[in-house]
Amino acid sequence: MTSKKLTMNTNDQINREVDKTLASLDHVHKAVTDPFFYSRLEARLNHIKDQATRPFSWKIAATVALAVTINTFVWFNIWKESAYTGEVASLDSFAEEYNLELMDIYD
Amino acid sequence: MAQQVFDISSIKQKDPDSFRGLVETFKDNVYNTCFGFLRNAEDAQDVAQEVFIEVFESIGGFREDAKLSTWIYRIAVTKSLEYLRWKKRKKRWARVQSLWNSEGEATVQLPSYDHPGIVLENKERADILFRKIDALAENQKIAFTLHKIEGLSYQEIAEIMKTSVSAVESLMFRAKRNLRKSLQGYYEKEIL
Repeated sequence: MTSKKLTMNTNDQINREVDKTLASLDHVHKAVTDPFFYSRLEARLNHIKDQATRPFSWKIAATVALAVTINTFVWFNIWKESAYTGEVASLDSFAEEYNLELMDIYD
Repeated sequence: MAQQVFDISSIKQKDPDSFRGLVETFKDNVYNTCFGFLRNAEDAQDVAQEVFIEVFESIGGFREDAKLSTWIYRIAVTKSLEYLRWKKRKKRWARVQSLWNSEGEATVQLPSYDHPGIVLENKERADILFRKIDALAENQKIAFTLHKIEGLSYQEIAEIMKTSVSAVESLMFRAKRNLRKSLQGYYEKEIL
């Protein structure tokens, strides 16, 4: 009988605690922002806008750099080729002028 | 909800004054909702700002078939839950890191459960309750938090969750039943 009463008391106590805890959020006041909320938000928005424009300018810079590199490479090769053929051409004309026979190493 | 002092079509045109009006109207509701899920002032502030950034960027696609407040609450809930998931992942990663590095565990900041709207005498109990709310199924957690912390009606919650009022009633019933069960287990250990 005593043990049953003790269990009932304990259950009552547990239920009371549960009810109190469940009620702890009743009538809770709302959390409010501080006065600088909008200025901070504005700063973040501006930062995002800056970031959005920055990769675009980097893209332009990278494209220009790539174009310059390719152009330089192509023009250098053209120049090298023309310089080489020019040398061969002048050697041929020299030999022709002085009636020389150009020897090929394979002859 | 505060009185509306902005024009949606102007916000769609990215008019800064109208956007400011929108922020001033909804900032406390958004912040309080985020706080309800995150329970940390800094996190709630960050996520609330992300909500308004999302609003600013995607208001062009807002079709006005729902109330603007409903749409904004929906973003606030989604962002808060995304943040919680990210934080859980970070916490798990820190645990893995801590196997190799003793500083790993220290990189994760635990929530302080310090809601400014809760009176001092209830703070300890609210802390216990919030921990039990965290263990609820996501839908129950959303319904319970929006009702208890933000004070929204079942009708408003149903619109935000895109469900029926009876479904919200059912979610609230199950949430309360699960919380009671969980708290009984907690106090049994405490008292016995």
